[in-house]
Amino acid sequence: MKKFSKILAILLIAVLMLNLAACGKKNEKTPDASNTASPSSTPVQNEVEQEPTLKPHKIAVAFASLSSADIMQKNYLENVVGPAFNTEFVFSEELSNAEEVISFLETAYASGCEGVMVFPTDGLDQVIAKADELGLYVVTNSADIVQSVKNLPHYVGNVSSGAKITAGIFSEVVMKLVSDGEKHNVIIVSGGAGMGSSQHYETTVSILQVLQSTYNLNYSSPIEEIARSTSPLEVDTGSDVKVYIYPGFPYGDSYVSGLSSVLQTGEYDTVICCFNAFSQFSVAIDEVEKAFGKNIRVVSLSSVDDTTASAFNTLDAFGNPSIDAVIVKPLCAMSAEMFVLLYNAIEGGVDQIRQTPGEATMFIMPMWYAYGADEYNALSNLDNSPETYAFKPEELKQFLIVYNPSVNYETIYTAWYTCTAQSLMNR
Amino acid sequence: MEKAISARSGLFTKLMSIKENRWIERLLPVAILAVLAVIFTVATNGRFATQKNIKIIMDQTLIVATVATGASFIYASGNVNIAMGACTALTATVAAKVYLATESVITMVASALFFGVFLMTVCALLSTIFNVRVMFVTIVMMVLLANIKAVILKGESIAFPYELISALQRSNISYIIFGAYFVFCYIIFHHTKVGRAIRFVGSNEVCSEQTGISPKKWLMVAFLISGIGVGLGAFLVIIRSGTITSSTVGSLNMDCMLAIVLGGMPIYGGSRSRSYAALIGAMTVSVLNNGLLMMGVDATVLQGVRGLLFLILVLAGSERPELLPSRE
Repeated sequence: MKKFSKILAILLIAVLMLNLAACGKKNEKTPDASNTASPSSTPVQNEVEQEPTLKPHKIAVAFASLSSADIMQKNYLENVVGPAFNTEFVFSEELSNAEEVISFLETAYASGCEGVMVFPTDGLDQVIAKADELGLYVVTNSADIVQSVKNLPHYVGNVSSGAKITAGIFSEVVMKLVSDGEKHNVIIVSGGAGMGSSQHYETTVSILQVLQSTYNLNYSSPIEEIARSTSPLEVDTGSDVKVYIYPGFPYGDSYVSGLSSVLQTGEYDTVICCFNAFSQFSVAIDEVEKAFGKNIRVVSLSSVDDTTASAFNTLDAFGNPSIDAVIVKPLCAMSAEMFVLLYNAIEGGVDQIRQTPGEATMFIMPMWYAYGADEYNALSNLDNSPETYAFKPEELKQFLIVYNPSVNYETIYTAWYTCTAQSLMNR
Repeated sequence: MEKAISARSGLFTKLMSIKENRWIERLLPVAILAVLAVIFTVATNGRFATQKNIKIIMDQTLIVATVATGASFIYASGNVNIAMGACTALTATVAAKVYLATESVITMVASALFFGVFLMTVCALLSTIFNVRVMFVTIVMMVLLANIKAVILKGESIAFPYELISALQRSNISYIIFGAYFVFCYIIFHHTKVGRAIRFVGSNEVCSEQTGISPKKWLMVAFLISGIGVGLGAFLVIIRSGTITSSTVGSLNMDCMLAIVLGGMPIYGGSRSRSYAALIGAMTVSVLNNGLLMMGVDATVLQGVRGLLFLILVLAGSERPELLPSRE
């Protein structure tokens, strides 16, 4: 019987392996024609006589997570951008630390990659140095240029939303939320504002400034000091308007319960998350709404994904969406810019697209925002629908030196910097 | 019907006797590594065997090989420590904090060694004093140490100066550290009384106790030696990534177990254990990752392949050789 079980287990494993092999074959299938700019079906091929001959290239993509938003991004690169520009992408699994990113870079280099998009932000100096050592052009998603390595020849630059620009968008959204003539008590989920995250810090500062100007608050400490708090803090506002800073990240079990206990005081009716954290709190918020019979409004940074769509389309106890407004990171549009930078660098135009030759350059792709489900649904199509992608292959051509030899920093910077959801929807 | 069953049973016995063969057992992991290397070299038109790629594989192997070489002493004693990753992560965190306070690399290395040995001693003491199996102690320790690390880091990351890490990387000190530790472990494991005693304990705890070899004492020694590996591994982690975060070496524990089993270490420990199994196993894992990705296999499929391989090897090595009664 024992031996029989063993043989059965071996058979099961063999079946599993065959399944895996079958999955592997599936992945090798050519992408769905409906969302593919395959050479045989796109205008690129129809205009082949005027088209330059594209050399094959290979670009690696290092993901920090593999959420549904990342999968959308992966599909966009693999099925839309890749076939149009004769580029193969090598995608990582979820890379949670610098050591894993470095290992992925090494393997990507060994498999023939010439450039890499890096989304994890830990230990970037070593990651960039490793990419440079291997001769891989690198573009990161960090909010700041890594100063210690900014002159390395293969460090092209960063594509980010820009800490101050994101903070400005938050200001606009929060202003609209708190300027309804009523007083609102606000919890600011400040993430890494006190731990070196410039985006979280700038966002927290801007929210505190909006609240100060709207309610004439008189903070007892400087706003910068309050924003940098690394432990939960009820801010002395000199008024009956309450402001609570809740820093940190949801790594431990006590994170959600900590916020939940603040909400359960029943005093707060607005939660503003400086990072993508609202889904962690949704149950706690719902419980408090039911217990106190009051609507709690939620604003959060997010991305175009199933969680955000579900939050907008799920109504709370008061018939309102679970989330009131989002500031989203347009990942596909962002990866389009990263691709443009890497492709140009690989084609020999790295200094042509930099602001200062020999120095890594910051490129800005502002975040998009939406109030309510209708606005969000319209906006999400720009980042996940083949028909309405913010940047289709035809539009990307003008930013690639193989098609447009005069392309430079200004051309690329301006195109993405002015790429707001509203302008794209009007288009 | 009976004949068929008897034939199957005969085949199984024959396969088992081949597997139990001393030389086949020793050479199989090396042969697997060599075959994989040849397959990947052919499949990638020689790109796999370039000097640069071999260095990449070695770089990827060092941390796991160092920690797993130390852990092989614990495995040889017939125990499984599943807190190796958590111990290394916390040791690296403490060493990083020490560096921030002192700005001295020597103090950082000394603190990593001290703390690695200290953590392993605590694990061993908890197991021997309270007579709890090592695996259960280390499950608790794994959770505890991860939480202590989270409290120390408070969600922040510790970044080392770029110039320092680059200088350490250029100095090839990682290879020197691993080489020295590997030789040390090899000599202790195969050519001293310590190694023999630990393997004897792994072969048969009851028998070893009755012949005057105290399992508790030698388990403690095994933990102390692996503690040095943890300390050195923590230093290598710092050199490799230059930063410590809440997720640093998150998969090290699984990688160590996979390396040890893949390298041919019997999961019950004992006389057939070998200290170099960890190095061969760690190299095989790196070769597999590197080669499959070079061949264009999806990263997510790779995870599945690693898991399956582990399952198959555990299954293959789960038949304990016929021995005198030990833990019954």
